Amino acid sequence: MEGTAFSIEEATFDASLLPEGSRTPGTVAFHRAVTDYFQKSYASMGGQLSVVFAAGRIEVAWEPTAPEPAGPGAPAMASIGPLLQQRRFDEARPLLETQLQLQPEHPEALYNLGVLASEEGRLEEARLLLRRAVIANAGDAHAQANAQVALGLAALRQEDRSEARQALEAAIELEPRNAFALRSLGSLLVIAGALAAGIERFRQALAVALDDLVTTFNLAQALLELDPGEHRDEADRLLLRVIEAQPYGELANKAKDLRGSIASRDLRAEQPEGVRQDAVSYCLQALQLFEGMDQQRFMAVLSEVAAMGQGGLQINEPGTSRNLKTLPGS
Amino acid sequence: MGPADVVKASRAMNAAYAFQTAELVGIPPLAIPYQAAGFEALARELIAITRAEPTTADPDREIVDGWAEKLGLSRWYVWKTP
Repeated sequence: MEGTAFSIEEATFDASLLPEGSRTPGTVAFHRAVTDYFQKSYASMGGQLSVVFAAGRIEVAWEPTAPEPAGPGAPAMASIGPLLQQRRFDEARPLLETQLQLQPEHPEALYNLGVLASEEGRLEEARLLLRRAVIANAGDAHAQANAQVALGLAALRQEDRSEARQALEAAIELEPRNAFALRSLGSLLVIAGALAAGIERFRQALAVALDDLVTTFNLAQALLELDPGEHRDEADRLLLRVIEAQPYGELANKAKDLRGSIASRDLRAEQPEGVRQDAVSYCLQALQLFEGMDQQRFMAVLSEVAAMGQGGLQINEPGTSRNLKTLPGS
Repeated sequence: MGPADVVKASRAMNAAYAFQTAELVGIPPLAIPYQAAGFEALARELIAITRAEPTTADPDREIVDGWAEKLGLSRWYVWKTP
């Protein structure tokens, strides 16, 4: 059986499972009785059990084999992991700090405290912790690569591109198929103006994680920045893929905006004055038509045009024509 | 029916699966999280419904209705004749 970890509010623990006199949540007697209950419940399984009380909750973790020796009183990482996953950082931090006091170079504690500090903007502290995490995770390529990526991002947040690049490249050396590291290095290179190198990293990231929409968008953006004429078609295909996979949301909106800029560029392409005479002519005809209309009919036509445009018109498909019912012959 | 009730109904069903599985594979600790969280009684009632002798020609529907009633979900659906 694999290990398990779960969390219960003290107040919702089934008090009927506990002896009378120890059923009041938050009391020492309650904590002792709950710990006894879990120890008895898992006794038949052997392994290592950890019961931690924090902020009114009971964090329980059971592992089939004993974890690395960490000294008496050390909170098991298995009970801290769920707190981090649930973004309950205020509860996880003291446990991680306790772990670190007991074992100053504990790899996971260093990494998680470093990531927390980075997320909270304490970047100097984050970088110190993460540098130690890189060293402490020397025996585990995956964990060390993750520590390098986190260090790279913390350095990038502090605008230290040199350490950021060094850390991300080290991560990729450890794990050549680490898509997140490849993507992050790609972004860093693009920010630094090394567009071609950034594009190369984005392509490598996509080869590993084809469905990564952020990388797909980043690649399209970088291609357009590098040479919109040469890479127009590829960028447009990539942006369309982003929109099709995720039609709504911030990324989709960015992709739509970028496609709009492609369309705008197309419309003005090869027009020395930046204006297409045929488009101007159509607009003038429309204005003339509207001028001769009464208000009621004008509103009807306008409503139909608005309804038609609600779902978005494909400006890149000039071959598609639409007719207005309220304007026969249009 | 508010979200808390939805979560409770969902947990109760998970608890029933956990207790049933724990019994099937002979590993009682599988159901400990649900027991600790106070779902044992409800889970056992749900399991009892699945084990009860059917009284109609459609035992599956009986079980679904039984669980729905126990979990307060009866008003959430109607059966349709195929």
